[in-house]
Amino acid sequence: MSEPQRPNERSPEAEPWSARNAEQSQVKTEDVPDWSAELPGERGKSTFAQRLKAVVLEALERARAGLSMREDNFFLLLSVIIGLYAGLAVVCFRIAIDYTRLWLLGSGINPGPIRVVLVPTVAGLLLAFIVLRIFPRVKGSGVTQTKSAVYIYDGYISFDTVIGKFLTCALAIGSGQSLGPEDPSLQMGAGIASALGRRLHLSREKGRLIAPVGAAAGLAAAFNAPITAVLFVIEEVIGTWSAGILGAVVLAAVAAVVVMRLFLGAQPLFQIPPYSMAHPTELLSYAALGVLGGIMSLIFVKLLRWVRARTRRLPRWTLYLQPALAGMMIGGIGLKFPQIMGAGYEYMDQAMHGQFLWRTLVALALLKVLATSLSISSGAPGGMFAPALFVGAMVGAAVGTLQHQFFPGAAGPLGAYALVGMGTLFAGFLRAPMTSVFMVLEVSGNYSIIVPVIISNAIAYVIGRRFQQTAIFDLMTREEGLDLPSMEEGREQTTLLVENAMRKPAGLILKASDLVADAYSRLGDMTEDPLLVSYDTGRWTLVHKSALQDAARAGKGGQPLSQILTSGRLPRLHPDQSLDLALRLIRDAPFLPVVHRADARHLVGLLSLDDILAAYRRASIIKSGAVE
Amino acid sequence: MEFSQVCPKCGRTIPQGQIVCHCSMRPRRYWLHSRETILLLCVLGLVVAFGITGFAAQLYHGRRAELARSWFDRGNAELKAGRAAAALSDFRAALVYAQRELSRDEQQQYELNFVRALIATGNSDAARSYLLDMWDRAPGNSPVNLELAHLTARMGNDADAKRYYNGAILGVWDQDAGDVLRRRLDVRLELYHYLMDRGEKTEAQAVLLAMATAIPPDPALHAQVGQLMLQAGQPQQALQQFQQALRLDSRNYEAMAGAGEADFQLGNDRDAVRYLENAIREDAQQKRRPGARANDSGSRETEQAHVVENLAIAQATLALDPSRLGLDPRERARRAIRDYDAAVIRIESCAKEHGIALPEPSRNLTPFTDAASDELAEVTLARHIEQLDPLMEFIFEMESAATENCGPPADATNAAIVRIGTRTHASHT
Repeated sequence: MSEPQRPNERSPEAEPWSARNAEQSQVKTEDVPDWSAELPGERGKSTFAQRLKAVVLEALERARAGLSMREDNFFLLLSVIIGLYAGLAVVCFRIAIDYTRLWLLGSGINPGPIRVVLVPTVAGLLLAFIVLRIFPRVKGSGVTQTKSAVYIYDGYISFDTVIGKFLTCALAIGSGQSLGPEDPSLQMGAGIASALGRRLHLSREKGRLIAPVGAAAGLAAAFNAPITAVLFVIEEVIGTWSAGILGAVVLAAVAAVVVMRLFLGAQPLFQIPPYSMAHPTELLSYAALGVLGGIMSLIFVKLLRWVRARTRRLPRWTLYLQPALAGMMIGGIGLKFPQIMGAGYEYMDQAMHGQFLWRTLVALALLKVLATSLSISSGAPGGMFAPALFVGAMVGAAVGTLQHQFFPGAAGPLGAYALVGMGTLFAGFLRAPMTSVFMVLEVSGNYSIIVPVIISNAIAYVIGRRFQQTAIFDLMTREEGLDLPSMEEGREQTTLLVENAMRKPAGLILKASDLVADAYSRLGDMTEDPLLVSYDTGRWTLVHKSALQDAARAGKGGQPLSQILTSGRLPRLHPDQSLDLALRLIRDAPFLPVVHRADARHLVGLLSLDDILAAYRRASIIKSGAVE
Repeated sequence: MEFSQVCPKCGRTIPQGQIVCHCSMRPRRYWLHSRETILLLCVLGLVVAFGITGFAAQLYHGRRAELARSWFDRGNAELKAGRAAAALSDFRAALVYAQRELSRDEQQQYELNFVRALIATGNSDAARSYLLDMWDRAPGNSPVNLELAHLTARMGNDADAKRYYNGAILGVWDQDAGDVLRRRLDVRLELYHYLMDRGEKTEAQAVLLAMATAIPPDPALHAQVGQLMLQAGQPQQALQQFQQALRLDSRNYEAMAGAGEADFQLGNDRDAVRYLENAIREDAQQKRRPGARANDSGSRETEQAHVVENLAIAQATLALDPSRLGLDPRERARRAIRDYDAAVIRIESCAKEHGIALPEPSRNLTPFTDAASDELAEVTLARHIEQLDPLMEFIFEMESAATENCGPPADATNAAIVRIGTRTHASHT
């Protein structure tokens, strides 16, 4: 029953959704399938069944039309569904990882030496084949791919990627590669969202935003922490706090976490004792932890870059062997330190409960950095969140152990140090300072720890930024040949303000209550035209000299200026507003008044289009000079 | 660029020269293709996915719980066999799987066994650190406090040990109310012994007094606490415990013997005799029952001998005490002279053995001590009954000298005299 395309039919993407929705919400007879149409030769044989079928279908169509909703509401509902699907996917993913580990490495803490070396090696070969031959898109970071979907592919992530990530990451992490499940979870969430968005014919704008919604859901389920996921997606993927997306992201994250908790338990990721500061001087040790966390982040980034650079230079055929070689080396390390294999959450927990000596903790941190660099560089799919948290936990626990040893009177719970250490790596390595703070609070369910967390994370972040300008995700993106916006650089960009461009008010400023004759007499030989006129209410407008002259000649000299003013209200600016806003407001006005925030009648400057352009020009000269 | 030709809706590549993808050109005519229908299908899909995930999660949790228990059992077996290092690794694995899968009680049990394995491998510091971490997580948890008390006591930190013992007593036990009472009592007993071992009798007595207020209605427990109170020198409180035990079980031998002993120590000789006689009678009856108390017959016999001895002393005290109320002067005098004769025999025997000088009576007492016969001495003393106390003082002096040089009296009569003397002396002072 196909129908030729109507000539005036528009592409759904070409029109705003509200318009389409309005059309769709009305039942159009031509859209209803004409099931009751009589076929040739069957004229007059219309049966009761056919008529009933038609009635039912029409009723269904009417019901559908009744259910149709505005795009925004639909988007929110879809976010919840995406959250639920992402949550389910992540639950299954976690189960798959655990079962893979059980099957491949056994249930013991220390698998046998042959198994430790052989399993990651053989699994590495298999991984390479699957990644290169079957699911080539699963390679790389989920964060980067989600950003690519948002900024390049209009929110498109193929569903193959979801399946591929699920299978290959479960195999990689379960076989002992030093990788984490959070990044793949994030991408699986984004992929599910993208697939649903496509299936539901979302508009281009919403379709682009749907991937971050799914990403937040996936990450929230992986961390069992909705706030962290929302912040991370805002901080690292979207980059702006937009009301349009925030609600959807939050709903999806919460829905995913609810599913996660329903199936895998509601306990926080780590259980640490309630934190209370033993002594104010304890903050010094947290500051030291911040420094160490920052240094460890730097080591991590530099080593990862170094190893990646070397593996990328190897011939293409070695791609089939790289994951196996990485697996073999990790297995070699695992003979002595099996803790570095896999995501390592159980060992983070053990470190928090004081089960390692400080020397072991330092060794584990350094070896995990090495193992993760090998895994990531070899092309094995998986994320860097868990390894970063592992390294942070070990560094934190080492500092805590030393603090307990040398200053027992000023030492809080060891778990608190490990937790803060995780935050420092999140801030210094992943470069998500806001997320790092909330992540620590949320995964521990302990809000009293906030002061040490802020101190340590801020120090680690500053060190990370000072000695490694580009964040790890941006580095990896650029190495893959993509030019995605860097959220960190965006945050750091200085915004030009009105005060940077305005000039001092000069010339005659009239009042609306002035008489026309007086105003005209004060004109003298003034060259400025038009002139600013202020009202007592703080409103501003412009008057042309010619208008004054005409009014005076027309005998309206005794009237106040307000009687003859024809031009409308002039937008007013404040010195602290951005030049971007000024540009949008200025339109065709020759200049705009810049007024005091406390008194709109108090003129502090004038801003014209030339002033704005001059300010941008100056700024670009300064920036290029700094770059050179 | 290649990616600009990918359709955002269907993901297919848009052919060259075409602006819109085929999927957009195709008219969506059927209600089946509407987004509401697809949304509905998504919801249905969710229901199915929930079912599948729920099933998988159930299997997963079951498997993890099973692994946790199997590693725990293996660890216990290793620990029993003395292979602490292997047990440590097993408990570590058990703890990994127990997390989120088992109840908090079970997890705690796993953790405590892990700590025991740590101690067994000589990692007392690590065990202490782990226990302190557990304590930080739940400061009011009694098993954790008790384990910490054991560890700190072993490490010689008395102050901390006492603190943790008290934490264990006052803390939370995740058990039935009856079991909780029993556990608390056990910890109090443990603390009591710990304090007694360190010679901190006052604190130990305080523990016993606190314990007495929290004993469940169990005659054996009351009797046990009474015994401890006797040991701690609290006969009055002990007597109350024995009486409580007898109220619950009137034929409880330990309670009878204990009450007799308590009354004996308190000087209530008549009651002591009654309780001790009943105890001997009950013991005889129990012995008549075939197979009764075969296991601890040794300790029971020692106890029985002590009961018999105390009974004899109590009976002798009742028969020899001249200061008892209701006696006429002649009877008082008679008893005093009998006491004197017994004391003289003992001191002379002792003097012969050890060559000590016999104490000399004061001149006032010579009419009684040097009398030609006991009867004359009795008559004289009855007439001068005000000399009874000095005479008894002299008798006690002789007994004390004999005890000092020749050891405690072996004879019930002399023991009774010493008792009477001590009591009289105490009442005078």
